[in-house]
Order: sequence, then structure tokens, then C-alpha cells
Amino acid sequence: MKTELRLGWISLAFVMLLLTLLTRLWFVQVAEGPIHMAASEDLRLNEQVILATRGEIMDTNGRVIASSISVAAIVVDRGLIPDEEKASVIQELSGLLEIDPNDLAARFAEAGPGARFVLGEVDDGQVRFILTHLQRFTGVEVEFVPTRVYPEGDLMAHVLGYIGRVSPEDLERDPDLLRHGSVGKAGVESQYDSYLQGTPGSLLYQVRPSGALISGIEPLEIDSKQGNTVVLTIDTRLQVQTEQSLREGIVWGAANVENSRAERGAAVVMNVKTGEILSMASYPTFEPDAFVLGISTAEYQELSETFAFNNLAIQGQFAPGSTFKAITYATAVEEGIYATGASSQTPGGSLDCDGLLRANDLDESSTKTFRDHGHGIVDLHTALGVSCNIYFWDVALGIWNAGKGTPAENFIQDWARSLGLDAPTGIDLSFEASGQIPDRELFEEWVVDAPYRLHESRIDPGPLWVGGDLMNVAIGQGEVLATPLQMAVAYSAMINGGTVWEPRVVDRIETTSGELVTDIAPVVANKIDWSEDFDSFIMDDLIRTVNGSEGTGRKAFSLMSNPWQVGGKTGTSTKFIDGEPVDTAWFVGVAPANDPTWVVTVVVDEGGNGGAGAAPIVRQIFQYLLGEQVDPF
Amino acid sequence: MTILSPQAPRSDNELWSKRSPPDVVLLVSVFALMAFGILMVYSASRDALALAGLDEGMLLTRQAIFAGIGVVALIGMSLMDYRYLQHLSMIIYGSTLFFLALVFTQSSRNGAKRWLFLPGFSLQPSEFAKVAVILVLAALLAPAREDGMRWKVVGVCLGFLAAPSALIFLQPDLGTALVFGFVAIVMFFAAGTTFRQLFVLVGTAIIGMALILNLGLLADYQEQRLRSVLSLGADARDADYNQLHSLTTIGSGQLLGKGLFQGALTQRAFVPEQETDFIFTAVGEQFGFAGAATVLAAYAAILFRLVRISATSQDRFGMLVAIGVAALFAFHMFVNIGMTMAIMPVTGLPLPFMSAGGSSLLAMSMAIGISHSIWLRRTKKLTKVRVP
Repeated sequence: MKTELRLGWISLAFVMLLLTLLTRLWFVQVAEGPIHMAASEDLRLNEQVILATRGEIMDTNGRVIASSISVAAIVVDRGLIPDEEKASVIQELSGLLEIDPNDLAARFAEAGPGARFVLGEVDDGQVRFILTHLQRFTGVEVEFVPTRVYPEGDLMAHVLGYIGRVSPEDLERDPDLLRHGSVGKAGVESQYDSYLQGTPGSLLYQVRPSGALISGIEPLEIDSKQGNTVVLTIDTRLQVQTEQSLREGIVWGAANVENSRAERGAAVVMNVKTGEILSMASYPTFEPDAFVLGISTAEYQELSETFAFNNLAIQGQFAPGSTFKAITYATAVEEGIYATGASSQTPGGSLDCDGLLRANDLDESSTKTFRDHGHGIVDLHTALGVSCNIYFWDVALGIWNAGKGTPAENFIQDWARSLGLDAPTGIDLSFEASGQIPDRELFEEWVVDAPYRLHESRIDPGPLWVGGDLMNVAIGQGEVLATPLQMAVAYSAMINGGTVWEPRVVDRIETTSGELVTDIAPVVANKIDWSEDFDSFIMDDLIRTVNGSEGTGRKAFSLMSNPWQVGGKTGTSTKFIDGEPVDTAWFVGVAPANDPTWVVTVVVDEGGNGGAGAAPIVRQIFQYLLGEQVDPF
Repeated sequence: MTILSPQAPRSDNELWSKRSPPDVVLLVSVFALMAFGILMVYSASRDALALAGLDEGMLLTRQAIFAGIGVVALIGMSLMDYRYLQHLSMIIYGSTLFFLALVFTQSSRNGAKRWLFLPGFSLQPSEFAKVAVILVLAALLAPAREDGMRWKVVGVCLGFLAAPSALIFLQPDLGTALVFGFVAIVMFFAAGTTFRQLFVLVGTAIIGMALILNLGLLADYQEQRLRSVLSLGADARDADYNQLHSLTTIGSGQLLGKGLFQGALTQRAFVPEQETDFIFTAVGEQFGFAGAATVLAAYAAILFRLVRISATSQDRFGMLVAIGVAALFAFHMFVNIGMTMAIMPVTGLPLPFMSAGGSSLLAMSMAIGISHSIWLRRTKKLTKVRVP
């Protein structure tokens, strides 16, 4: 065969290929063209946003505290429901979901025209019914909606916070939020929302103008990406113990402690070496679950009135009472100002406490202690142990007499501030309170801004800031306010060598597969260089408070097998409700003695005497931390 | 012009002085398809790019640059004496194998390792391998007997085909491996195999395919694509999603099309990969049967010009290269356009000069340039191709 003939055969083959294409082209475009044209006009591309699954929250041991599951839910798009079909759609939905049609109509009205809202969860059978009867459910869609679940119920509810529907204010703050998605409203859920949100995906599918899916064409799915995992510093087992001790201690105290009207309180356990919060509890509490599908106004109202939504550990501001004396103690040592009482012994000075303060050069008349009898000869160390008001008043007087009217009159307040009081600690939780440390400047502001906060006699014509006010500061009464967390931070700085922490409840952020995204480290807010005299004595003095023969915390801790491991300070602050004095119970504890690691702060509002109302709760928590059997109250 | 060559061909200057005029129909057809391709790529990508917040002319610019490079390569190849390539074919073949092997060291894209990533751009060596295989087969077959080829020659050629086919098959790129088969059979026939030998070769290939299918050597998606086309017509709903969309898009263009930038489906990126493998859908929807048939006519013109070049070549090497390039075009055109109209499986073979992408455009331009070089250096009088 000649080459020309071979090429001819090949040409013939090419002609056939071309004719095949041309014929097919004619068939597709001309013969069947109108059919394809009609099909193309019918097609509508719908995009449905797939909400991202919210990231998990785990405790420090990797135990899941908050997770998300997908549930099929009915989403109503009112914009797609013609007015004349509204009644029939409501009727159909009411029959399917077994909801009163009037209630449904109310939900429709509440959402408003054009709104898109999640109506509720549905099961497989209901989903099948809707999908096979789409013509009866115009504007009704079935979507998988991620739902938050809290496997541990109300455990650490105040730390976790809660989520809710995206509000206009949320959108203003973060325009990337999805209108029908959810957002953290409080606690870790809010603080770390940007990590938890994840990336939404979308589902693109072809539909007929009626909204019906076209069978045989797979929708195009762009996967959503689950949010990152937030790993807390909190230990679930310790948290369980803390919450249980707080709850039971409050109930027990209300029944057994003199003058206790306890209804609420807070507890914090912090690692003094790292600034990590190991547990944090506030009572009464709430179920974060309740917010997921919406909480009723009545329920919300009821819980609000009991302060259940407030994390009292960071939002509760109480006069710290005698727990503040440790700060006055620190001031005395660091500034070298000791009591100026009758006798003078080492170190610095002692006084003979007979229960009366003699203050001849005070602006006001002399004041009496609450005790009928004196403590005898006390120095700074024993004064802390027996919580002798006379001694610390005398320190305050010393400061007042030497520095009155000069910056030196604020020694105690300055030390309190350097230990983190009078300002939020900066913990990674929202709505933290700042507490209050009063001084002349504050009172002067009040005269202008808030005269109602001052006693009438102060405003005119009497002196504004007097020695008695400073004496109140020295023992943590009067206008001094602190949160339980602030006192935990202040005490931890006293026993960890001077580090004032900005504490953290979150340790790190991880991807869903466990790779580190961000390491959240507590920040050093301030560093105090303690003198030798303070550093070497404070822990022993705190231990003596718990264990000394006259120690104020002795009784509460006597049940422990090794109470000498624990130091601490009681506090009983007095507020007046309708003229009646009511005591708030405080205890700040530190342990273990040889290697101080934990600080535990408990406040029971209106819980009576600190040694009786708060110390037993701290004792239980320390028993747990030290591996002892936890004895009942 | 000096090119490293063990055996210099007869003086090019002598031929050049008696050169034929350029093949205007071939060049005009190619340049027209390139220009139209740029426009189609733009129409198929601008809305999607704008939607993604990118420059809507991004792909347009890229494709225009590729076309510019392609034109330069085409003209450069035309001016070079194609006979050097016969001597260089083994070196070209060896380096092709090297680059094909190199892609396995690269990261994969869409589950396949087909690209060489270089700073700023990426190359698909398999596109250039198609040209290299034509050159090496032509070099091997040129000395063979014109009538009735020896089995030994066929065997050697198959050996040379096996290595690149295997490397490409492993990428995995079924389409390109099939290109080699088709091109080889056309070249074998042109070089002098008997019909009997041809039947044996084609029969072996079909049995081989059947074995591959049944022994599960294909990746799932490859097997599924083949099967979906084999069962097409019985139940259109089983056809591939892409093809269903593609059919609707082309069909809706009807006789005269919807007009440039008026293709509702093209503008919405209804067909996946519509700026690359499915670029023909953009032609079909916007310009209808009239436009699509015109594009087919341009491909037909290129094909028959290549056959003419083959028939008038001064030597057997040139004859075989030109018919090999023609086979390459015919296969790409038929499989790609056939795929968009659901009569061929989805293989990922680009439509020459129209699909977005640089490697294919550059390789095809070089192939046309080499063919045109053969035309410029022809000595035979143009004889009519005999149609059987």
C-alpha cells in the first residue's frame, strides 16, 4: 500500500470523527436544544449556609466539658412563604410537630415577615415526611443545626458561660458572625468565641423554581470547619469537689452557723506558682444548656434575682474583713511601721491589748474592739494569728500620725493596689469587677459625683477623710471591697515570692486533631520584691492562724489529719441591711506548708463568722487537694 | 543556526532558498482558535473570579501571556530545521522520562501528581511527553519498510512507548496514556503496518484494557468514569454530574447561542472546570450550533492541513511527525468535545488552543511549529491524497 493511500485511510477516519461530533452537536443543540433550554431556565442555584460545629471545651485532663452535636431542625424562611399559603403551612407544621397552631402563629408573628428562624428539632420520620411532601411545606427547610451540649450539666457553668442567638450588638462587634448562628455570651464561651466559632461551609444545589430539589444531581458541598478546642486549666474532679463543698457548706452554714443567712457564695482555687485557676465556683448556679434553644423570660428573671448568672468569684465584691489584715501586715513590715502601743518589744513593736484602743490624738473619739477581753501582749505575728483589731488599728494610727495629708498616708492602699486590688485582675473571663480601695481622693470624688455614698456628717462641715477611715481600711471593713479572685491573687503574691498574677482559666487552644494553636500563659501583672522579714515569716504566721492555740481558723481545720500543712486567714466583714449588722464569712487558705502551691478563697455572703461560715469549706477543699479523706462539716 | 547534532542534515539554506510559502490556512486557524480561546476563558472565569473577590481578568491575562509564548514557540519551531529533531529524538525522549519521573517528587493537586512546580508557575511534563513520543516514534519508524512492517520494529516501538505510558498512568492520567495508544496506532499504520498487524495491535490493546478493568488496576474514579460512558444512553441519570450539566449548557445554546457574556449557565459556573476541560460548553452556550460548528471547522482545517503536510514531506520522518501531530489533535478534539456532549468519558484531556492552561498550549504550539517547519521544507510536489 502506498503512503498516499494510508494517509487517505487516516483522513477518512478523521472525517468520521468530525462527522460524529457534528451530528452529536446537531442532536444536542438543535434537535434537543429546546429541551435543554427549558431545563436550564428551570434551574435555580440555591446556597445554604452550613453552620460550623462549635469547638469543644475540655478540662486540663482532656475531659470534654462542652461539645457540639448536629441535630436536624426545621428552619422556616418566611420570605419564601406567600401570604395566602401561610395559614396552610402553619396547619401542616402544627400537625407534624404536634404544636398548637396558635403558638406557631405567635412564633411566626414574633419572627416577623421575611425572617428566617429555627423552629425546633425533628426526627428522621418527620424529615422524610417533609422532604416527600415539599409542596405542602413552602418555605420550610430541614437543616442540620449544631447544638451545644454540656455533658457535665451545670458543672463550672460560670466559667463556661453560655451561648445565645446572635444579636444586632454582636453583629456590630463582629460582622463575620452568621445572623442565624450562635455566639458566646458569657464566660469562656464569650471570651474565646473567635476560636470556638469555626468556619461555616455551604451547600450549593440545583432547584426548580418551586424550591424542589432536582433528583439525580448531587449538591455541591463546601465543608464547614469545626472550631478549635479550648483546653481549660480547670481540673474537673477538683471542680466537682469545690462546687460540692461550696453548695453543701452554704446550706449547712445557713442551718448551723450563728447569724448566718447564707444563700450564695464563691470559691476559687488557684495555683500560686503559675497563676492558673484550678477550680472556680459560684453558687447558686444555672444550666448552660438552658440557653441553647432559648430560655424563657420568666426563668431568666427568676435566676437573675438569685444572682445565679453572676460569677461571684470575679463579680462579687465584698468587704474582705480580716483577710485584709495580711495586707496591712505586709505594709507594716515593708514600711517599718509597727504598733506604737504601751510596751515595745521585738520585732518593731508589741502592744498590750486590753480590748480598748486609746487614741488621744485621733480626730474622733476612741473606739472599742468587738472583743470584750484583750489579747494580752501581741506583736505583729501573734496579732495576725488572733486577728487583733487593736494591733492593726495601731499600725494604721502610726501611718496616719506620720503621714496625714501626705502621700505617706496611703501606704496601706498603695500596697493593696500593688497586690492587685482596686482593679480587675485581668482574668480571661468577662464582666470582672474591680473592687474598691478607699482613700482621700475617692472620698473627694464622691463629694462631687456621689454624695449619697458618704455619711451626712462628712459632707459638711466635718473633715472628709479621717484616721478612722484608714483604721477601717487596715482591717478590711467600711468601704474596702474585693472579689474572691482578687484576694486569691494578693495572697498568692505573698507566698510565691512576690509574683502578682493575671490569672487564666484557659491553658491553650488546640485544633480538633490536637495540634497547638495558641498557648495561653498567665501574665505577670506585677512583681514585688519582698523583704526578708516578710518573706520568711508570712507563711508561718498564716499557719499559726490555722493551728495556733488561739488561731481563728483552728476549729475548722482540727478535723484534718495534717492541719499544719495549711495556713490561712479568716475574715468577717460587717454590712448593714436595714440597720441590722450582717456578717460575711471569708477564708483565704494556702498550702502545703513546705512548698506553697495552692491558694483557696471562699466567701459566703451573709454567712456569719469567717471561721465558722467559710473556713470549713476551705478545709474540705484542702483535704481533697492533700489527698486526705474529705470529712463532712 | 547551529544545533548540537551528530550528523548535520543537508544544508538547510539550500532548502530554505527554495522554501514554500507558509501555510496560511493552518496558521490562521491556529491563531484564530487561540484568540477565541482567550475570549472563552475570560467569559467562563470572570464572574466566578469577581465573586471570589479576585481580579476578573486574572485568567484572561494569564491565557493571553501563554498564547503569546505559544506563538513565539510556533514561529521558532517553524524556522528551525525539523530534521535536527530526528537526531535529537533520543535525548528529547530521555529528558522527557526524567521530567515525568520528577513529578512524583512533587506534591499532588486534585489527587494527581501531574505538575512540576517551579517558582511562579507549574508545568505538566506529560503535555510535552506527547510531542516527544511522536518524535521518537517517527525516528524509529522512518527507516521501516513502507509496505508491510517487521514485527521487530513494532516491538521496539512498543518498548519505547511503555516507559512514558507507565509513568503517566501512575500519575494517574488515564487520558494521556490513551493519547499515546491512539497516536501510536495511527503512526504505525502510516509507517506501513498491514491491516492484519493493525488488528492484532488494536485487539491486544482492547484485551489489555479489559484486563486492567477487571484486575482492578484502575483507580476507582477512572474505572467509574469509563463505565459511566459505556452504560450511557441506557439511563441518563447515571451519567456523570459534570456531563449532565455540560449537556444542558451546550444544548441550551441551541442554533445561534445566547450571545457573548449572555450564557446564564456559563456565567454562574454551572459546569465544573468550564474554563479548562469543559471550555467547549462556553462556546456551545454562547454561540450555539453555528459557533460550535465553526470551531469544529477550524479543527478540521488544521487536521487536513497536517495530513497535507504529511503527504508532501521530503522524508519519511517528516511524514510521520506530521501525521502523528494530526492524530494527537484529532484525538484531543474528539475526546474532549465528545466528553462535553457525553459520548466520551471524562478524561481531563484539554481542548487544544482553547482550554485554559499553559503547558498544553505551549506543547501544542510546538507540535504545530514542527509540522509547519516540515511544510516549509517540503520538496515533493503536492500530490493528491488518495481517498480509498
